[in-house]
Amino acid sequence: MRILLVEDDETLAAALVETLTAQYYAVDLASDGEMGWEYVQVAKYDLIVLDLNLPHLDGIQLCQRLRQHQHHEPVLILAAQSSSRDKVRGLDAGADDYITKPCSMDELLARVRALLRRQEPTLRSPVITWGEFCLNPTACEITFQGKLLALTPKEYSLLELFLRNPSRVFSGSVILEHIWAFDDAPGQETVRAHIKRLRRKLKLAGGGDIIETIYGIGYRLNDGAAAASPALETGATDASPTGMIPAPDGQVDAPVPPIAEPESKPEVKLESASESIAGSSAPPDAVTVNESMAMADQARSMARLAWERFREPTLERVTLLEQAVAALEAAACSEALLAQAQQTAHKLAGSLGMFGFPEGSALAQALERLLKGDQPEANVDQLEALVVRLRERLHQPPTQDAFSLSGVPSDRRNNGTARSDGAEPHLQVANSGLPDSGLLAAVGRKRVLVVDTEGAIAPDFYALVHSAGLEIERVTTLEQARQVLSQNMPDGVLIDPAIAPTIEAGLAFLGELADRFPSLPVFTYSAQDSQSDRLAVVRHRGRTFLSKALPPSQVVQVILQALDPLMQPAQPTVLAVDDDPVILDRLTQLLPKWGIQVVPLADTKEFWNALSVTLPDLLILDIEMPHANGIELCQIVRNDSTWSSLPILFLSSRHDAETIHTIYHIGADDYVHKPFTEPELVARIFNRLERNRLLKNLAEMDQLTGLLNRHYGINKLKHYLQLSLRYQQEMNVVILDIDQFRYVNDEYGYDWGDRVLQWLAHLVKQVVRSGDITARCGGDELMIGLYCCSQADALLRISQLLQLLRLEEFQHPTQPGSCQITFSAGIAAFPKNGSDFPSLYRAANQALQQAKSRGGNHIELA
Amino acid sequence: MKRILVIDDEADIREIAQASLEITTAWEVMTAASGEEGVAIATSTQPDAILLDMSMPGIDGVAASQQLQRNPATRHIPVIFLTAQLETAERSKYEALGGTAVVVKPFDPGTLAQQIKTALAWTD
Repeated sequence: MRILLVEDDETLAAALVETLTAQYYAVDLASDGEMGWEYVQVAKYDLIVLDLNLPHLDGIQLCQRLRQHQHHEPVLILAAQSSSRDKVRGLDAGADDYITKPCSMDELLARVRALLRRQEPTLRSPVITWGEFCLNPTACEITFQGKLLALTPKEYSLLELFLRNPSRVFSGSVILEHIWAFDDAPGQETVRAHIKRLRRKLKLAGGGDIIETIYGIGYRLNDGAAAASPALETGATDASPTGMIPAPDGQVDAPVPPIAEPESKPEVKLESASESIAGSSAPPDAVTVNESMAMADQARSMARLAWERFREPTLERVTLLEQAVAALEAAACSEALLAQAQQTAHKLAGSLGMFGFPEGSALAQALERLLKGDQPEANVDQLEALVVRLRERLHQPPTQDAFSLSGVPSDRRNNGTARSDGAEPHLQVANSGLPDSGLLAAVGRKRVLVVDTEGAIAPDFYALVHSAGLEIERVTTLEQARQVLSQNMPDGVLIDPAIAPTIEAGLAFLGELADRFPSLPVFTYSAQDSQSDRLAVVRHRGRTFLSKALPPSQVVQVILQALDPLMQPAQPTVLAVDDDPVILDRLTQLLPKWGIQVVPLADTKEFWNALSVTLPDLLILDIEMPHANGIELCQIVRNDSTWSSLPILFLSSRHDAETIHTIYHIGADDYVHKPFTEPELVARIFNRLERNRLLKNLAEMDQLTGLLNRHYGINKLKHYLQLSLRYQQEMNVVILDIDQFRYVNDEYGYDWGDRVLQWLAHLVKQVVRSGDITARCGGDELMIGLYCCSQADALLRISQLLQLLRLEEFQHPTQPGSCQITFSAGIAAFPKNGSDFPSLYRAANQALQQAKSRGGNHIELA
Repeated sequence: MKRILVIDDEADIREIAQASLEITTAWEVMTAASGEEGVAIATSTQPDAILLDMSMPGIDGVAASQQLQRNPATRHIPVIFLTAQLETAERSKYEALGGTAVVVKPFDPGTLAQQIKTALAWTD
């Protein structure tokens, strides 16, 4: 482990170097900020310990510069300033921890270990540089001398493996193990072929022969070759459709070549059929799925490039919003300024998503709503938090996820809503699938059918439901409701039985719903809530009764819970355990203002239960509590592999060195001592959450498909099975496998096979709900866990998936002709086919084998 | 070859819409930065479809679409509204204005052309 110490006090520096060296850390010492910055650029550090008062470039500035330049090394600030203002400044600048001088060497070492422990060896710093190569795993891009290399996913993985382990020799079989899943593992000759192709590309790009063959052993990076190689003419723009899309240099402005009338192209295969602007005078070919996807990607990357030019004016708009919010806070906002701010928020909401900032659009939309509300000055705190988040987001690069803007099929959400009112049968609403409000950008929207008399429900209720991430479809008669149910099944129904013609008819409709859709959540929403009214509803098999006297927020909460107990709000959830009700009270008042949801818990006996029900993103623990103390609870959590990465923050009045040492020793991530100040606590919580999110994404995702990887998929499935057992819910495990995938790979090449897998994963995401589990188990085997779902429903969804896949005609990459891809699947139901993961997996796998033996293109129930 | 007119006062939206359509289709894309300019270009060039922003200073989307409707030379051209948010209640307003469809901003530059084709039932 290599540590950079930036400290100008010579005596202290010497002592620190000695202590750290004694712990076998390799320590480099920089005596000022600029020097520290230079060191960081040439060497790779596992941790940076930073003083605040430094000559030339101070600690805060250095830290900010590091983060701006994608240096994600953990930073520990060691400073004499002990005010919480300074701590907040440090943490906000991107530091991971803050320790006040003087401090005991033991505490320092404990903090160093805590920070290093969070760095899995493979996840150290997201951006990896080696010589003039630079790998950005978030974007899955590798650049050489700042130029993007056009690599296929396999070549990327291969080069990534080498760059991440610069001195290691990899044998062919180890490479196979790392890059190919075991089910479809090709032979060693494939590895050789890929290495050969990669070498050729790197040479063409001027990177020299950086992959060295160690005869009889394997391959490794050749250090000498990295810098010495002459820069050749770059020819690395691979034409392969699976490669990364090269930046469309100048293409945007290129004149469109004259193209024949579309009618003269009968062989056109797909909707998006027209030539790309790079098209030559050669006869137009049929546009394949791959090409149209590539063109769509190209259009998106063009938009992201355009961001460079529109960044400044856009940031100026954010500045205007900041000014308006400041003026509101000072109660000095003129009408004109407010109007201008509303307009600005509106424009930002409409444009940011296109540049690759879908969350930016959502934030701007939330701002717009608040600014246009009755009393914007009453929501100054919220406005301020939103503007801060907006600016932060815009200082980061746009998202690279090609599907982030098109994840929802455009017709699914609109059919019902457009049809329901009957009045507008012709108007189509084309929708990009972006979240159109609220901050719940990540969650797929649930549709709730509301059956109520016109105007019976206050508009602000709808606004609330909408901002909670639900989509509402309103009808006013039972007839319309039946029509919606038969055409476009909602995820839930909210109904006031006192709807025309009579309350009896409304109640009878409840019974009808219970018969026809036994698993559909139905909420009775009524102003009559006497016991006899409730009884009438129960007798008609109405399930959830909600009184109209309840506060709307509570109603929304119940609906959200019932629709999907696992629907995780984008708002982070913190579980706070403390036996002191005053502290819990303070936390529940304080944190929601910052968009953090708090689940308070005073009784430690309920701890494990609360943990598995709330699935928190962060845990706050007190030390001294009855029954079980915080140290023990922390150990329980760390002993369970499911929770090994949950950030834990201790909040305690004890601050002796031994306690702090123990806390870090048992795996806590941070420590705040009581009495705490609001900004410090909030900054530390955000800091932890952000860091964890970053690591989680890297560790849990399958890079090719964006689904969960095998390990996390199985873990999550096991967890859902426990929940299913506890809540007596049905659940289904689906295993599916592309038919003849080996043949596909052999015949069409691995790149093309990868593209097929990506397409399948894309379709899978469309047919499952947000809470479902989708994982790539390896090779072409995908696993889907459908929670709260009957086997018949599972069969329906998977059949739908198979149909969607069959719709696509996959064009051969080089030769004329196309083929259809199909899959086989086995579905095992809990509890019918087994009660634990291994038995369900076996059952599903057996069913899959049966489906295969029937010739594939088939779904079999266990 | 189809010709599309994009009317929007925002330079970024104009540019991205134009580039996105030019990359993903073979259409000719024209742009106008205001309602007045848009109506004039539509009258003189007769595009196959118009993508019209709702909120613009001066002649806004509503006024522009009314002018297009009143003019026999442009009445037949399908208009797709570009709007940032879509409230349920507003739908009838768009239809009353003679719009064929609504594209919600921010749109996905990768599928904008597809949205337009679907809305207008173009099969090329």
